[in-house]
Amino acid sequence: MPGNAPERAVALDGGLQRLMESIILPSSRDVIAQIRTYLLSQNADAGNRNNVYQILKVVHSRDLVFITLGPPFDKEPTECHYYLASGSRLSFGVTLRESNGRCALVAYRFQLSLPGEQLPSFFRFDLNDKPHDAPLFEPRCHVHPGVDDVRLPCPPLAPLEVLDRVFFVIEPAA
Amino acid sequence: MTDFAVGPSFEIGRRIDIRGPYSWFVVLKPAQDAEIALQNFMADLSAVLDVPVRVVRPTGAIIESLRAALGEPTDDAAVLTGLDQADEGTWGALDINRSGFARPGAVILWLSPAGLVGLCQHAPNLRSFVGGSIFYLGSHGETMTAAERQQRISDLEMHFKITSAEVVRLAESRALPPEPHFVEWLVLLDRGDLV
Repeated sequence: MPGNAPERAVALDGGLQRLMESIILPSSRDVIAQIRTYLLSQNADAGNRNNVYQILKVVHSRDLVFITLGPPFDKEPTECHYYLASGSRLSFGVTLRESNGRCALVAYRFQLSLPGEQLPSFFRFDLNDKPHDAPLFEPRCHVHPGVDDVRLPCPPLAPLEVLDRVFFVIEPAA
Repeated sequence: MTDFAVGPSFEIGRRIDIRGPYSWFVVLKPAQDAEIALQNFMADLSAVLDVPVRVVRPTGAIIESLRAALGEPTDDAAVLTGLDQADEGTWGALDINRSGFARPGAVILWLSPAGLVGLCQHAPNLRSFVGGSIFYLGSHGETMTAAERQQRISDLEMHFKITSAEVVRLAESRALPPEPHFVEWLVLLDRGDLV
């Protein structure tokens, strides 16, 4: 493999880790409120298609909080997904660690499946909870551009920042 | 006392946003877990209005205390608590001095039904400020039920073709691969200690 690609990937992964550690979110109560309000506002602007109160769920375990919407795996449309105006469907799971009224990112998975025969057929933003042995092929934080086996490094994002890309970057082009 | 709208925090926040500055509202608190409901309401309201939200609980000389608290800052949203036990004299004093409480930021009276009766009976001008903006606070229902948790756990077991017990064993030996789904799985099993 030319020119130390694996070593460069390890260094990049270290940079992603440091970026992740610099992201400090408010309390879990505030993060949940922000995500819910964001989705409710988008939903209101798009005709109230989704029952956000029903599909947004929260689980707590020790100092972790898991915020989720939709099924754990996107295999087909369900009534638990969030549907955008284009027909794209969103599902996600975000895990945060809370301490002293602040939250840090642990892991997340946001999947947006586009409607019809569009390519790419989906985007998935993933943050793993720890580094992979081969970060060239699986960076700590990455985006899948419609292919499960292709993972391109992506800076860690706060949940609202991922939603910004979903609603204001990908959706208008769908 | 049953003719008021039931609204989740988001809807109440939208109404506050629409009504604009110098508006007063009443939110009727739930009979149980009122303190938790208040904290959740404040978080939601802050997210909707995009301004800080704080609790104001007048103490001592109520009029002066309230005037000072509402007067600095004036552009946040203030949730007034502790008025459920206010007597006729207190409500009357608040009513007479109402102009001193005017501020651009919203004022939300967090009251029990009994507190609302006191407002209506003894503070007619404040009651007029509120107008039709009286809401029962609805709930979100966001906590995942036991059945929902079990369904997700089943989905994970089926997808990865391993049992929850095996996931716990792998987590304990630090052998779980890096993958958001395994983090979710451990949280669903209430084993956040292994993350």
